[in-house]
Amino acid sequence: MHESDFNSLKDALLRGGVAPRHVRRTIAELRDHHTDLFAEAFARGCSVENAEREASMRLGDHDSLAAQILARPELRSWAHRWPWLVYCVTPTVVFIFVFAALLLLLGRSGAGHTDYSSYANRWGSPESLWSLPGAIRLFRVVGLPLLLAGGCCFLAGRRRTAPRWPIVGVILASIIGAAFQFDVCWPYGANAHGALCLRTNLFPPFIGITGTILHAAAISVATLGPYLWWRRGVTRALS
Amino acid sequence: MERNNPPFMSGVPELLLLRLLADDELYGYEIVRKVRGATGDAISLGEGVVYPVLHALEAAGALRSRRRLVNGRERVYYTATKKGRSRLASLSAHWRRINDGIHLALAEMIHA
Repeated sequence: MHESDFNSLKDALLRGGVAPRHVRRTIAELRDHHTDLFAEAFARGCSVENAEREASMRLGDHDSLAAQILARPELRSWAHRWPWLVYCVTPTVVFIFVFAALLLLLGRSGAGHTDYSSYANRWGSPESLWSLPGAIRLFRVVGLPLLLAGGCCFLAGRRRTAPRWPIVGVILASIIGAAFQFDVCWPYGANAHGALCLRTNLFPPFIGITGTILHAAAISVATLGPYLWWRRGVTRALS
Repeated sequence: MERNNPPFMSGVPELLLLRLLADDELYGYEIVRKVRGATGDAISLGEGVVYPVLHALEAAGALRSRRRLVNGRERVYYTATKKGRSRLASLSAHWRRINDGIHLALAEMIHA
């Protein structure tokens, strides 16, 4: 077996749903085994070509090895067994937790219950990106949706998952990331109360929905574009 | 060397691997060589096929593995766990029953 055969076997196993850690280990062990078989045949006096041929024959051909490994359901990854859980439920749950953590962080910093000027003196002007609220806003608007959508693509690429699942995951993560927002309503004047306001435009009257759609589309394109391009390259290289 | 009948051989690699690894810590290439030696070349496992069986047994908790650096090469050594030994005992008993049954049937056919 040549290096290209090992790469092709690796790809076939990943596409078949074998967990990446099993694939890595299997390929490494097969490669080692092949080296031992080659050394054994070479030490017996075979030529390099014959030793290589014998080692490959004894190790087994690509198709039979792939079939034997794919016949073991216990080696399949959880992402292959439950793709909807990985690409749909997990990004949503992670988004909810991180969104809540950001809101909590903003609340703990005093936003909404400290007057604007005292808050700005301590944490920097909330409008500026170089302040705590600015950094949180940037992360919520750009960082978090990109991380979630990019995470879907990364997992799918690593596991050679069918593209429909990362596409669904990325679109979902982009929509959720773009549609749920929070703002700080600052208290002005004595005894006034501020608030942290949550808002979404996923429901009627859909105020600002065009911006949300564009935002979601930008995140989807920024993550799905490189992923699909990379996937095309891998498929071409193997064919 | 004869080709072994795959459906009839179902479970044999698992039994042989557990038997070998119950007493020893070995890596893939050594395992295949020992299987050949122990069965007098009667049973020859497809050499690459040993790895999915090893990984599946490890996933089931019957084997454990560790990496060792030997002569500059990192190898994965396998050995049977307590669970693996009890699985070996039950598999061995099962195969002995089958073996006794076949012996009995062959003997009856010869005397009939």
